[in-house]
Amino acid sequence: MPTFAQSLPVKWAKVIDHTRCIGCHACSTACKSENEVPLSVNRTYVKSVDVGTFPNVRRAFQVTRCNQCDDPPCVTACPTAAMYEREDGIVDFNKSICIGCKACIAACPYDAIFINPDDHSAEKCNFCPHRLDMGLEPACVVVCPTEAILVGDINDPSSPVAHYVKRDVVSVRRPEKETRPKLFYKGAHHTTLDPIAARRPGGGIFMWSEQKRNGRSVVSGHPDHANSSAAALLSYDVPHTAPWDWRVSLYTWTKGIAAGAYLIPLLLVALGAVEGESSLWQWVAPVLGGAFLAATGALLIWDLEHPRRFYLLFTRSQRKSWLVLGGYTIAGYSAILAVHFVASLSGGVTLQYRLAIAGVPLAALTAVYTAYLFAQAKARDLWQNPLLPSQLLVQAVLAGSAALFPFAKWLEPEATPTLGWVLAGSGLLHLLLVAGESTLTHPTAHARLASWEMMGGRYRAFFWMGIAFILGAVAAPWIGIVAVPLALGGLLAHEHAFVQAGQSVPLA
Amino acid sequence: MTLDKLNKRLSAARATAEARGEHFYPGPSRVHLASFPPKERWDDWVELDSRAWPERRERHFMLVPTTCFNCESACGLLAYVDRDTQQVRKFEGNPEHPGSRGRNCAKGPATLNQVTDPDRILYPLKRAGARGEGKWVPVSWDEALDELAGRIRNAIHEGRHNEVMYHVGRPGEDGFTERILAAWGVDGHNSHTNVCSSGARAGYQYWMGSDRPSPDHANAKVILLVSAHLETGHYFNPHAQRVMEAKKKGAKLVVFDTRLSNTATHADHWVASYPGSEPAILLAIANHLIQHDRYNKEFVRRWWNWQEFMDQERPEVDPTFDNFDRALKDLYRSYTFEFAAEESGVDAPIVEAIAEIVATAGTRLSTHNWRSAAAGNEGGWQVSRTLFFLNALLGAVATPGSTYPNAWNKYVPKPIHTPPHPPRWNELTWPIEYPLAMNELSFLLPHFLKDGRGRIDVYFTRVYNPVWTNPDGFSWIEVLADEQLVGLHVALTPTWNETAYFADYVLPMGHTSERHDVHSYETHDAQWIGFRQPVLRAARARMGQPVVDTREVNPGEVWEENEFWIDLSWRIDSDGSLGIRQHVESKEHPGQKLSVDEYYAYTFEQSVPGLPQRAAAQGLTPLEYMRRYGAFEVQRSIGPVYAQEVPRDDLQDLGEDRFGRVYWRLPSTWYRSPPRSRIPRADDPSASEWMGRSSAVSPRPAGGSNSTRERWPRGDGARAPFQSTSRATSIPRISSRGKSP
Repeated sequence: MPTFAQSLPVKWAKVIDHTRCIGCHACSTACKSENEVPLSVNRTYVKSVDVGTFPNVRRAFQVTRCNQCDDPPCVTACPTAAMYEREDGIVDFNKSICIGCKACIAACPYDAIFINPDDHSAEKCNFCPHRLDMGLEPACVVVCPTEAILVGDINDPSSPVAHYVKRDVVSVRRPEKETRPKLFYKGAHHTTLDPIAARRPGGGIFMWSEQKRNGRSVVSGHPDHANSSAAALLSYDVPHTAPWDWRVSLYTWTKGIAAGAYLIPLLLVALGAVEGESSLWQWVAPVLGGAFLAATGALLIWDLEHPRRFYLLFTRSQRKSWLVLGGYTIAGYSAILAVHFVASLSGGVTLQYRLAIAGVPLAALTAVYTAYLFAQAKARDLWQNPLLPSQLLVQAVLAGSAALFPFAKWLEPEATPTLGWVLAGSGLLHLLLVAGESTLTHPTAHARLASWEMMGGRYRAFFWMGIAFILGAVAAPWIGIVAVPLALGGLLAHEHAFVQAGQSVPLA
Repeated sequence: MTLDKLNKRLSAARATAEARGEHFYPGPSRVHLASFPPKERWDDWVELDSRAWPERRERHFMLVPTTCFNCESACGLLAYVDRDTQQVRKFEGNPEHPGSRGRNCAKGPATLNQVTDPDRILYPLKRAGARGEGKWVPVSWDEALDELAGRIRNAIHEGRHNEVMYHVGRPGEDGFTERILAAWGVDGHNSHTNVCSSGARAGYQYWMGSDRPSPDHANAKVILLVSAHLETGHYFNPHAQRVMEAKKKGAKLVVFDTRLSNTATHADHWVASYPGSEPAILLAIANHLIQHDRYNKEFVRRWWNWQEFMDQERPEVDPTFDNFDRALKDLYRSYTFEFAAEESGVDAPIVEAIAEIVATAGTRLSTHNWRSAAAGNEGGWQVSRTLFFLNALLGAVATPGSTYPNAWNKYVPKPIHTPPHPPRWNELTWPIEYPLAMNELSFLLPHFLKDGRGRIDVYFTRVYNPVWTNPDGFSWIEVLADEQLVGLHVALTPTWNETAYFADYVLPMGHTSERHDVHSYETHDAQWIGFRQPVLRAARARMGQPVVDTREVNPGEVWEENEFWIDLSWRIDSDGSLGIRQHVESKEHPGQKLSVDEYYAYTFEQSVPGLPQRAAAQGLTPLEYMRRYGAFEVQRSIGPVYAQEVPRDDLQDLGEDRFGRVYWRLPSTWYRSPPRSRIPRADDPSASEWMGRSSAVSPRPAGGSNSTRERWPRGDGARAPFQSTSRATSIPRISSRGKSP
């Protein structure tokens, strides 16, 4: 007889039988009550889509929640292992070590994780392990009037769940994300499984509820043409919010400047535009780089729901997380800048050159690692872009050359023409990369929708401002310092459009 | 402590529970996991704190059952009372409840939100400014009760009984308050029903003398709903369970609903006809059955009063069943599929397809209409009437998988005191010019008051918000704001509402887990009772700290109606001179006020068959059993009561006409003065006599003066106390016992 403490490889799974589900929301409230989930957030809820045209029409439900992946992207993305997979397959969480970075939310292809407004930690459906471990079924299973939710050990052939999964027709959500969900749907409709198969109703309302609209809200359903040839209208969903706000947009910008502030003076030295003793290399690089690196760190910590737990990034490092690797990178780069600064005080130019052997890759990685961090956000197709590392490096050059320009004009006027050409060249390269991404079609519907939101939807103003400003900044060799605000402003606008549009696609 | 030890000590899993000799509640997953803790450990159940997780922090709970009050289904709930904080942590279902079987809709667990609602009313309030001005001062219960009792006593003294009115929406109990009114001799019950279910009730009442259907969905072959009972309305949780069960066994589901409801989603056929045109489709289905001889002729021959029909309507032909069959065919010939399509906007082939499905049901056709198309349409009562017509044609009446009269699937126990029906008639609720009214003409009340047809001195509203519920809310505001028309308005309510705003007293009453009630509903083919109780009071009693007044455990000074009405009645007649006090007096301790403990102990001991034995088997008194388990199944699989032999005791003083129709004889005083047009609600135990006998006399008013009605005797010994529903309904009620031609 299997119990939780057995040595057999128990693998908990659930089957939601949508041939039985009546969409009554009992599971939603039972979960709220069992897990004391506050208002405005949900571990589970019932989405519905009205399919067809009168009189050939039905309402399709989807009990929406954590998919208990066997390859959970949230666990990979979590910097402190606050999200973890138990031996019995349950993806569980430990709120006491959650720093509230929201990487798990960005990573989850099902948008099933949220920050609890009461304790500021991430949570989601965890199969009620406190009940399972006591020999009780989860709360949603028990309450369901039509017994539409079943839990069981997928490895136990006598469990009905194993029977459904192995002998019946079941489906999972978004298998292309390679998460191997252990939540199986029987009788689910494709217009609910695919979050953008149904059209988002106009007028700001669903069947009986408002579509929550604020800066970061992500309303479900496709805003334009739905991804199904069946008439499908999203009739109910709960509000969703994009995890990363303007602070993350801004952090990619400050980080670019921080990296460029070191790389560009070194480039000028390498090109012979300035000497090694140039104050651009001696002072501006470490001070400007350090200042923007400090700003980057401040923004990162500010963005945490638990800023005081920031240190857990280093003391409880989960080293697959690019938040951790990024933290190491920034820390390493900070150390380089600090040593560089000390060397400037003591006139150690040679040391600085030797330091650059580590400094260049660390500065470059500081700019580039965000591409890997974003890629770990498996849900966000716009960010799954092989060009992203090169883009970020180019942006760092652009940001660095623009940020350095006024200092050059002040301290090393003879370097400004070269700097102007670097600025212009990197601006042009940036525009070419963006043009490539913007004009080619995208490999997935989600990436295409995000791209549409960026260029023609919610973030089009930022995007086109970015294009126009940077286009102006390309004239740097002729317009000089005027190009600086254009380049930096355009870059910031572009980052914001890119970061926010990446999170604008409904996932649930 | 290792996890393994923790598991062995605490687990509810099958092996560990059974090894300890404890009960295992299997869940829907059908694995080793339990759906509920073993009942042997409900006194001290240890759970791991979900918020502290993954730390294994143990919390001790006492599991106390009660009955949900968020609709009329009366589903079971289990309150998890934290033994340390003495507060309810959560509500789950009650696995011991025969109707809901441990499962609930969203409203069940959400009961916690009502209990912890920061906006609820915690203390009795009295109006400070003008009525409706929104100024209130806290008062003591004593002050409120004394003023109320004084006014009511004066009204009774001065013969102004009709100036006392109790207006209720959802009663949530079976007759307690109506008996209180009867004890006062007041005909003061008013309802909301006439703007709600009375249309459907009428259609059913005229068929079978019971005003509600009780479909046995679980065993049906064809389920025909004129409603959205998979997800709304009472009794959707119990019904949805059983509709889905039947569907999984292959039953066909046909749903009539103008909305794309969740129910419509699961239907094999969803019919969205023009609102109110449903009877055209239903008659076309009936016609299909009749013209093609696919109705249950044996049932119709035996149980319909077709002989009377032939006598009255076809006197020119021989009164044979064949001729009746021809007459039926003539009568319904015009209700073709094309006619239905024209009327309803539903294509004729679809109507035909549905008719074919119905024709295959045999006696396993379960149908249900409640509100929906029968409400809000002129002639809406024809919806339920034509719907049940299909059952009557197929003989799908009180057979497995068919539809039952509600009274057969409901059990109302007899309480300790049963005051006689009040010997008065209140024309504010039952105006004489509406003799066919199915329920109180409640929506006319403000207009009658404005027209000077009466006034109200003390007006109670409870679970009823007429300002909001009725289409002309402002008429209600005008009347409620006028102290000449309504002398004192008392709102009994846990939370504010638009009507309470126009009250003189707002008296806070408890929610689901803060009050006593007993009730029973026709959720399926069985009879059960559910017990609602103040769970903290029950928990304290189990911990050896008895509580005698529910206010001791409720938040603030929130009370419950049972104790309130008993106390108020006692104060109205503290010396017993009005004859009221006897109905709220203890039998154990004469001269003392009845306690709710004695009230329910008596009920459960004396009038719930099988409960004392079941309780004794566990070493409990019947009341202790109900406090522990919250529900009791009296009987299941009731079957066709009309085909059972009538108990000999009931065969006294009967008459039989030439068609075989059996007449009960009413007490002679009733004959002399046919008292009222009121057709009793089947769930009104005080009207049980009416249910048994109303078919015997023509339920029409005599149109007599007030003085004749005043002669209705009180304390009529012939009004035998209600024994049990099955007994009270053992006389065929479809219409008569037919004679073979």
